[in-house]
Amino acid sequence: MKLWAKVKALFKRKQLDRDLEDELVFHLTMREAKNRERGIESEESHYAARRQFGNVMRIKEACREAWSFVSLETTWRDLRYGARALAKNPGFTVVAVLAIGLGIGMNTGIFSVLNGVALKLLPVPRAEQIVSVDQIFHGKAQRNEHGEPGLFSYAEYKNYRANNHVFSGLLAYAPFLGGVPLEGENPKGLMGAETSCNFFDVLGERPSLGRTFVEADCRAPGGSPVVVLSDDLWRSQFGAESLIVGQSISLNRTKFVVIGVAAPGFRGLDPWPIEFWAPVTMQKALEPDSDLLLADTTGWLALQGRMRPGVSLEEVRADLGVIAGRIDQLHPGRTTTLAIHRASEGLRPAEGDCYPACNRGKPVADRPATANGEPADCVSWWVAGVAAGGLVARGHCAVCAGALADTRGFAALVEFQSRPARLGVFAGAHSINGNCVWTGAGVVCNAAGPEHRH
Amino acid sequence: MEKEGDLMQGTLDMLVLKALARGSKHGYGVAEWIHESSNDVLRVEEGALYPALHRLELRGLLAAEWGASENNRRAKYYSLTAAGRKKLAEEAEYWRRMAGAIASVMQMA
Repeated sequence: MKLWAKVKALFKRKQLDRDLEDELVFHLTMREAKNRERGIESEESHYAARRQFGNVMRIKEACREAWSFVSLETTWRDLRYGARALAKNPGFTVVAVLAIGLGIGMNTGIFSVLNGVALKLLPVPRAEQIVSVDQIFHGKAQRNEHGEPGLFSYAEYKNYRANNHVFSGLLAYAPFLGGVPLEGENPKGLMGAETSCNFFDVLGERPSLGRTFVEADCRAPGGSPVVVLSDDLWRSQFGAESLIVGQSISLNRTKFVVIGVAAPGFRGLDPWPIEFWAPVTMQKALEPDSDLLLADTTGWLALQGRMRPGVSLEEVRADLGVIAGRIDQLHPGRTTTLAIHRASEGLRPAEGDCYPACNRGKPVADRPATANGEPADCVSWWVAGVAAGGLVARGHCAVCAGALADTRGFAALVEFQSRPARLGVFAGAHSINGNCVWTGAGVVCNAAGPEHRH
Repeated sequence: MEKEGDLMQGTLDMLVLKALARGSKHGYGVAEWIHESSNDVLRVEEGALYPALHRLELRGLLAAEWGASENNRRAKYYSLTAAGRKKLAEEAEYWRRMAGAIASVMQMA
């Protein structure tokens, strides 16, 4: 009721002011008359009344205040004044609006990208327990890089896995493995991942068909040519045939036995969907040009661990730091620090978009031709951005400063500082794709014979 | 807007309500009635009286009506609403208890 009375009063301001005036004048007149009764001179009585009354303006103000939303009205006055000032200086207004707009846009953009890339946990059970581990070398470090500097050698992985006290499981996988030719009736370049044999167990992923890897699959190099297919690949390439388990498929001229199909929706840990997983011990079969298992100074494996219940990130850092220190003792002049972060999901390209399909470190001529014109053989530049986003997410890269773009073509400048500057987005694309070059118009990628531009 | 427990303001409100208990009065009438009823001890400042009248009107404790005064002038007459009457009873009761309490404290030897 009080509020409503005030609102009504807003629209009857003049009437209220007149009434107030009348009321006060009446009071003065009455007082004057009384003074005259007491025998005070006419003029004198007027002033006496005034004196007794006090400051009329103050009284009016106090009465008006009772009726008004003082702060609201002042705010409205300020707004009007501001609008007038802006209208007077259109140049300034344009610059100010653009600057504020740009600022808000940038912030929104950076947050969207970070939210998609760095803040969203992996889509696996109890994802908050999964952490990514990267290493940073200081001092004298003899190191070959395969893809990205923070990755681990197989020997290092086994060391961390055997000697840590904080993980219920530590997995390794080789990122950036693309363009693996699937031969047969429908040849195709595939995105794959070489993984440690506890990969699915650590993530808590159950297959929808068959089995995933067991430790025996990783016992000897080249010993167990088995493969787990993604649900998407199983449906698109093998007609969702349940008899696929136990059959052989040919990947890069090596026969692999399909042992299982991953659950629908599980697409691996890379920013792009992975189509098959093979034991890390089959690396040479998939990439005949390099033998990485025994290359102790080559980093090529990304590590993710599942923390035991009750273990904190700090404890993980301390525990793994001890192992890093022990490894450093074998390499005089080198110190290693570890970057340990909660693992997060990278941006994923939408269905039908193209993915980076260049194999790492492969000379083009040596590659058997895959299906021509596959969209998977090119990299649109936003995928490069996405890849860099993935790198940021995984902490694989240090300062990734570059334009990250999402499917709507939106681009934002992202600066994500977790390490000494190393990769920009274009360098990121380059490192993913051994054969890709930045052309200014897009990333030209050379996995399958002639160049495909996108 | 109104400070609770503000003795002076609360007291003024109570006196204004009391002044109107026997029928409607204009502002000047209220001031005069208080002045006279207190044997010329209390003089209500107009600067406090009118804001108080408007505040009470806004809170629905008083109703206001324009009418002709005894000397045939346009004057704003205030009267108690039901809420105002109830408020006056409450205030009077509160005042009685406070005055009694203060009196008994002050009488302690």
